[in-house]
Amino acid sequence: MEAYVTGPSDPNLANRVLAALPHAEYERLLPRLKTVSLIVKQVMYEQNTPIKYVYFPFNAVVSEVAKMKNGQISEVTTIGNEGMLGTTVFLGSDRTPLAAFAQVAGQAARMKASDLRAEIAQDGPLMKILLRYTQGLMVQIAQSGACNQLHSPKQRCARWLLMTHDRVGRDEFVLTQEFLCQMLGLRRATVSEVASSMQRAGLIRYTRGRISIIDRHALETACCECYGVICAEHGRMFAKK
Amino acid sequence: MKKTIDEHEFGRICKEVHAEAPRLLQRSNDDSERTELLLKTVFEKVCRHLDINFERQADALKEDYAFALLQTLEERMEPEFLYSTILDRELLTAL
Repeated sequence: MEAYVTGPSDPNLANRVLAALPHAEYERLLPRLKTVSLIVKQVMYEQNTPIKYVYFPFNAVVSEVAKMKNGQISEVTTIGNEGMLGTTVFLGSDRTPLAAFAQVAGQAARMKASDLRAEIAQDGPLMKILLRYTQGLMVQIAQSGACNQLHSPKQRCARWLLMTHDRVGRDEFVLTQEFLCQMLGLRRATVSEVASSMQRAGLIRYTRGRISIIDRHALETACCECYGVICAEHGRMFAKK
Repeated sequence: MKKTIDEHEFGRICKEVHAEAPRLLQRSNDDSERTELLLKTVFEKVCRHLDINFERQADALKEDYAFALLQTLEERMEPEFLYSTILDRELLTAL
């Protein structure tokens, strides 16, 4: 299974979209990229409000969520170092009924939405890479939707943990139970049960919101096919043409 | 017995911080810093309500104030409530 790639010396290049740019093109864009720290719960954009920035995460994980009128939240997708938060802007709109916030703290490169629009108008390498990334993102959203319908809470949780593990590039990260419930669309009791069973089986350790991946291989075995499909699609999109 | 926090009390604290937000945020333009300032203030007030030392609590959780707030709520809310919904409604969307 191909995992997402992390770890070059230039932090921007931990992001696969930026890393896929030809060097000269990346250098040209650099003045428009600002490295920012994202903290848990930080709102990137709200529902139906103009999007000011797009983000290329290095090791942060951000979520796009659908918010219901009664306050309930359901994850639509997560974005990490494989992509860019702000495909709405890329696709020509300035707002979306979805909201986005940081789910795992970390760093990202930020670009003004107006700068991205100007880049897209030039039809250059960034445009082509983002088209491919958007295909990968669509597959990720579709596959995750199918996974949530067809697979067990344990398999879904394993997929989600593996994807987060790839994106943060370290074995330990923090995540509250409420987040996991929202991300997986599960009840608190179910998440608690799944986390306990994974812990008993030696796959993870979960203490006071701190998740440690203990046995990644076993986690991959516990997971359904969806993780592999999503990784393969992102890998294919970024393969050298 | 450990003190707990309920939805009503947490909502009251968030409203209080919302009212203080213009003063708290007057010197900050950075999105992360503004979010952290607000969440730290909520965390301090939640810890005061729970009779726990907020710095010691954040140290124990080995993370930033934002996560420390969320995890403290996880451990001390009674009965359970959707604290993120309240945070979003009362605070974060007003940034």
